[in-house]
Amino acid sequence: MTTIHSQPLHATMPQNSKHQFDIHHVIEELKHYLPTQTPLKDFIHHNSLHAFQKMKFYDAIFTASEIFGYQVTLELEDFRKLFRQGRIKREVFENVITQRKGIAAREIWSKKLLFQDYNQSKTPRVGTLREQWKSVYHIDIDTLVQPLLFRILNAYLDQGISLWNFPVSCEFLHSIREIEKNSYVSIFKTSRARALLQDEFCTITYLLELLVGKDRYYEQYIIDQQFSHRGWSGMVATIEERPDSLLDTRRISLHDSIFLELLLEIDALDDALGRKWSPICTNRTTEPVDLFADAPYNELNEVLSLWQDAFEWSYYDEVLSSIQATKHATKPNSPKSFQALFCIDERECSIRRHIESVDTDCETLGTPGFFCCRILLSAAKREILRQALPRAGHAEVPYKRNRCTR
Amino acid sequence: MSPAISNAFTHMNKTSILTIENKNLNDRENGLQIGFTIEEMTTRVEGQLRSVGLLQNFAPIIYLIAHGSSSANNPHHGAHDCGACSGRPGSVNARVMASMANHPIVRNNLQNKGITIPESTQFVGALHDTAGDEIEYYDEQFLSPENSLLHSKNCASFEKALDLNAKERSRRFASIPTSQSLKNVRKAIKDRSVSLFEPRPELGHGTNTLCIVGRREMTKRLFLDRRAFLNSYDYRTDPEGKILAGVMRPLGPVCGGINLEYYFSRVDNHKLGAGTKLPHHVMGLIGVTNSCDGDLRPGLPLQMIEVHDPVRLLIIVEHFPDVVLATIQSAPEMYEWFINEWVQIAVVHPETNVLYRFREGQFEEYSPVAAKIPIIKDFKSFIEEAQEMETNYIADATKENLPVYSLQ
Repeated sequence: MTTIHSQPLHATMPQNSKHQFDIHHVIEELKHYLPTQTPLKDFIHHNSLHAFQKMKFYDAIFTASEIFGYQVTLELEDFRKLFRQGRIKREVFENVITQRKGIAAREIWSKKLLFQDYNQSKTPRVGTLREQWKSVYHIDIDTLVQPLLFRILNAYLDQGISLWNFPVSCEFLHSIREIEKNSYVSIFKTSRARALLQDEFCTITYLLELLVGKDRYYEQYIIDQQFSHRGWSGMVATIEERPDSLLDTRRISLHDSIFLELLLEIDALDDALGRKWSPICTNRTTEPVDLFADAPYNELNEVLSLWQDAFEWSYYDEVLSSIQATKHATKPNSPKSFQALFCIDERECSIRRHIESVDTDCETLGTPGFFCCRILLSAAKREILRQALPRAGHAEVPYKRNRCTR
Repeated sequence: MSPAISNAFTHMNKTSILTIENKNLNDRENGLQIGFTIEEMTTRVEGQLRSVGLLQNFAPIIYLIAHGSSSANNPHHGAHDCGACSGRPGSVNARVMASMANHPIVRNNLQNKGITIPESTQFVGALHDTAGDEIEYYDEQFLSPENSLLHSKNCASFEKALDLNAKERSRRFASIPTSQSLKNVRKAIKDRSVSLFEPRPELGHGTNTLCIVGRREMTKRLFLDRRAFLNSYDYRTDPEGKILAGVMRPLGPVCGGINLEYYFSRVDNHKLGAGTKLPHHVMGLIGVTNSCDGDLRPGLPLQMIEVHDPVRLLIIVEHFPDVVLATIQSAPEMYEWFINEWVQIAVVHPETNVLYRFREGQFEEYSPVAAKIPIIKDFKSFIEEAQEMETNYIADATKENLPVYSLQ
């Protein structure tokens, strides 16, 4: 059984005098940058770097690369291979460089693109602060915490794979507290974390005080932590925003999953080191990293963006040229054997071409495949609604619901 | 079919009855109105027809062909379904639109709005399974005797087209010899789509690069290798671009969103994609993890993006440049896609045939450098002899992506 302290544990610890840290602001920032992919039943394609869409494409992708360490174009050597294969055309390559760098600089930039060596290693800004657990205490805190955290999140959100349902399915943190109160075993190995879970006055800020120490590093620490498992964090944030994205709904918030993760970190450290550890930033004097600042100029990025333009326009040019060359003469309205409206989806491009070749009197057209019907579907006598409308149209009109009976 | 199979045709049973018309505004569930009123139906059917420029010369049968995708053992099956329908087959949407367009009062209302559809014309909803290459038609029992006969003939044409489509698709599948008989290729395509052991039931949106907004005649004689979203639009019916705004608005989020998800999953499949499918575990039916790495993997798996050239979407519109510029600038959320260059846009002047590209807030004339386009003389041998990838490494795999050919 869990022992509950008579005095809230957090009250025994020294508090930082001034807290600039605002957890709600950090959570909003996290939600902006985390993946927004919904649970598998609703797969809606979207811009993976949607958080940067207010910026110009190249500024955005190279900033994202600087922050998170993403590869955001093909690698330099792959562009060079495509050029040697002729898929990036020399004339387009030269035009792109001339247009962006001027005729006088064309030769020097051509050499950079084709031959210059660049350091292509990446050290993302995210993750550097929490790396200190390894360098100072020789502990891989992610390995100690994440397997358990993922099992708990997965068990709570499970939609039908596990043989046993999560025993309590009210709000996430409340469910964890209930289980801890009523179980013979605990998810924690040590007493402090177990007690803090049940302390109704305990906050994320207090847990960060224990783990980080100085409030000016709290934001960086939380972002480091959540981006060490961006998939789960993004899923939790998405389900919090759209509980209907699960058929068997669960109430969970990013705030509460961060709270539990911080407790698991304290538990892991207490278990591994006893109380012989200090907050990770106790002796840190450098300024916290401005994680989301723009990427500084980097010649390699300029080279990659020139290659990207050359690659794109090598194909675009061919398409535009073909459209211009095969421009039709408008035909009179001859009678049609039938008309067929297909979705604009590019996979329908070929079936349209083939049906037109089989029946030369037919006419095919393309339109978004929801056919102007933004609807939610419900089977008779069921409460489950299924969407059948585009992501872009969510807030435009009241949804119509069509009952489907069998 | 086994429960492991996601069958596109089971999204809606062919014999199910849909409640489509709302005859009483109080007929609601959970605060939502059930079905559409006649006025709402009229608005939607009118919008559908005007958006594609289909306002006259109606055929006896007009098919509305949605799409979905069947596959087995595939947690990402939703990524193969219709993106405009929340990653589901669009069969219900097609059937609802067909029903509304067949409604006699809606027809009458449309006539008052200047769209006269002959009484003998009937709309038919259908679903194309893009993995198995099959089509199912809905509500055929309501066809007139004359149209039933025509429908039988059309179905035979669609079957032939599906055979050819299967053959064209088979060139990218190592397990299917493309030069087999059409019948064998079609069967192999179907079998492959629902094989438990097949990580590539179809290639989804892989290679998508273009979105053409204009009349079919712009591209009818071109082989674009299944790389083009094709949105019908007739500038002649919309000189001021009022309809164009509605056509263009979803192109960024829907087509651009698809394109960018493929782009980023391709360039960094480790961090922005889902890695290889083979060791995927399905977690709680909500996401996948990759082997012992326990984090959920957003993005697309390797088997969906191997053949994808990571290039941004180019939207090509047939209209006057000033009209297109005013249209894309008419809504900030739409303009952001273009001015920030997440998608590219070009215009074909419908009268002069001059090309324009959008750069830094305006359209400037563009003269292509490409030489003469090659011509496909015999489609069968062209497909059978097309280059196949040597490895799935990017510079090898994308050699499969064919240049533009003329079909003349």
